[in-house]
Order: sequence, then structure tokens, then C-alpha cells
Amino acid sequence: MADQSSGSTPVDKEDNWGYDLYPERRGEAAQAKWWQVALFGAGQVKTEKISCERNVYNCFQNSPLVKLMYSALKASGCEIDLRRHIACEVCDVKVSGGYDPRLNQIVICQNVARSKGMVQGILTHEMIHMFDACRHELSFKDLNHLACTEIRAANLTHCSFFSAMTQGDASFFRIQKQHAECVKNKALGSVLAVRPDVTKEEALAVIDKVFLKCYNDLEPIGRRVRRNSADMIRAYQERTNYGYE
Amino acid sequence: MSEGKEEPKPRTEYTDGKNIPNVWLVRPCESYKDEYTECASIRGRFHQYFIFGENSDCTQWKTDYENCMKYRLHNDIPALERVIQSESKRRYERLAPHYYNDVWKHRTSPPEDWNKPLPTKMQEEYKNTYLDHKAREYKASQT
Repeated sequence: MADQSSGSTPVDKEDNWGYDLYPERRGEAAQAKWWQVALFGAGQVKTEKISCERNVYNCFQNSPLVKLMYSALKASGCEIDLRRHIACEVCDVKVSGGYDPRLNQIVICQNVARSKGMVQGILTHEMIHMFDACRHELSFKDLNHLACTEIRAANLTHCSFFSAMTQGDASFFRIQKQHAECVKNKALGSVLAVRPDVTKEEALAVIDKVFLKCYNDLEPIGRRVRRNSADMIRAYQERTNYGYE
Repeated sequence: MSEGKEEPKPRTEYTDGKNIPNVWLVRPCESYKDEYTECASIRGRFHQYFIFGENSDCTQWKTDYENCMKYRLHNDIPALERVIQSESKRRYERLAPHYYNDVWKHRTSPPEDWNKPLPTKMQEEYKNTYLDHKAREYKASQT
């Protein structure tokens, strides 16, 4: 559950790692400092929350990807309840959202994710983690499982050409098959943020080990959507052919 | 899936397309045309190059579109059967990596604690919030 995009909330260790990025999960309401209020208009927690919740509801009504994920989860026996499984909270600015496996909730950072587009991306990403948790014996303690679910989420919801370019995985001279590089790096970032005890080399080794299987597992979206195309709608419309209705 | 039932009729004997097994896989013909256009477009080709390092083969979408139209306009049953076959193959190719992904074990039923109640403090906070009302509305609209 870290990175600029999101990842998974880390596993329960005695120190509760990663939960410091989500102070409200531990019961503390984050207080904005005076200069944040003055300079950045921070601290409007209630209005931000309502705005965030509206964006969430809007996504469930209108976004083909979110609707597809909802159908897939429902068909798998894990229906999402908008109130029970989703929470808008104030978090550390380093993260934009995440999935809390302890409470089985998606957390959306209302102070970071302010637009429908961002909320859509976070919801889809985290619902992929939920989909994996619903259909498989997913243990976030297992590094292989964590790597696999992060690879799948990065594969299906991130890494358009332009975001790859921004990350440095691709350029106008290095396009061919760079999507896989982008996915690896994104997954690496997510895994390292969630498991600070793992070294970069270990994480890379695990990612490489499971990469081929997890990169090609495209369920339930079924394709790597091209940004700014009707791919999302096509994926939504073909869902009945794969059992997600 | 059909073992134990009577043998499906030999292909040439279907006269009504609606009776062919798996005909529900066939999409409206326009979908196939749309997928073909996307596959063969410049941006689509770039996307394929970015992911696969080469252009994908788009001819199957075109063939499916033509067969679909043959059935729609001329009730050409073998054409419909070819579309069904193509969709079945597509379904297999998409689902196989999912089921063969043995990084994790497949569950036979969803987790029992999927809907376990939240801590009371959280539940109190959530009462009467925007999402609380909308969640109920949404659930009602989904049935």
C-alpha cells in the first residue's frame, strides 16, 4: 500500500509496518499543521471525505473497469458493499490508496486522490488484490503471493506508454516490449514499500521467479487496456463470455 | 460437460442457430468489427509493439466479423459454428494462464470472513455517511 500509486497494506508484524502511512487505521485522526492549512488548504477533512465518497460512488455507477471488477468479484462470491469494503481516509501523502487485508477494506486517500480518474485507478488496482484474495489462498505474508498480485495489478491498471516513459522504463528509442519492464519496476516498488525487511535483490529475484505466470494471468479484465481507447468498455462488454455476470 | 447426456447432433444437422451449444458466446457482429479496427489501428499497433514487441495477428477478428454477418444476413449455420469455435478458442487462451498460474492455490469457496463486521467504532463513524446511504441504494439497484 505505498508508492505513488498504491500497493497492499503490509502484513501484521509486531511493529505494524506501513500502518503509519495510514494513521486513521490506527485510530488517530491526522491533524493538519497550521502551515499546511494556510498554504495548501489542508484540513478540510469532512468536505474532502464527501467528495471522495462521491467519486467512489460515481466510479461504481459509470466506470467500466470498476463495474467489471465488481461483477467479477460478485460472480466469485465476494460481493462488495460500498460502505463495508471501501473507506475514504486522510493518509500520508506518499500513498494514494491501498488494501487493508486485516479488515478487508480498500482505503482511498482523500487528501491525495482528488479526481475521478485517480479514484478509478486506485479502486481497480485494489479490487484486483481483492479478486486474488477471493479466488486464491492469498497470504500477504508470502513474498511470492505478494509479488504475483502486485505484478498483476501493475500489469492491468498501470504502465501505459506514457507512464512508462515518465518512470524511465521506456523512451522513444526504447519501446519494444518495455511494458514488461515497467510492470516489473512498479511491482518492485510496491513490494519494497510493503516489506521493508526485504532487500531489492531479494524482491527482484522473487518477481523474476513468478513473473511469467503472473504477467500472463489477465483475469478478470482480460486485456492490457490501451489508455484513451474504448478498451475498458470492450473488456466490460465481453465479461459475460468469461463468467463475470 | 455433455457426457452423460445424449450425443450432440452432428454439425450439419442444426437448422436453427439458437440451438447450437455455446451460441451464447457469440457477440454482436459490430463488436468483432470494432475489435478488428482497434487491432489494426496505428495506436493499437503501437500498443502491441510496446507490449509484445511485434504486431498481433488481427485476421481472426475480421474472419469472425464476416462469419457473423453471413449468419445474420443469410442464416449460414456453418459460419456461426466457426464463430463459436473461434470464441471458444479465445476463451481457452485467455483462461488457461489464469488456471495454470500455480503461484497460489485455487480456493473452492470464498473466504468466510469476507463480510466480517468492522470494529464498532468504525461502524459508528460510518452511520449516516454519504457512502452508507449510497451503499444501500447501490445494492438495491444490483438485484
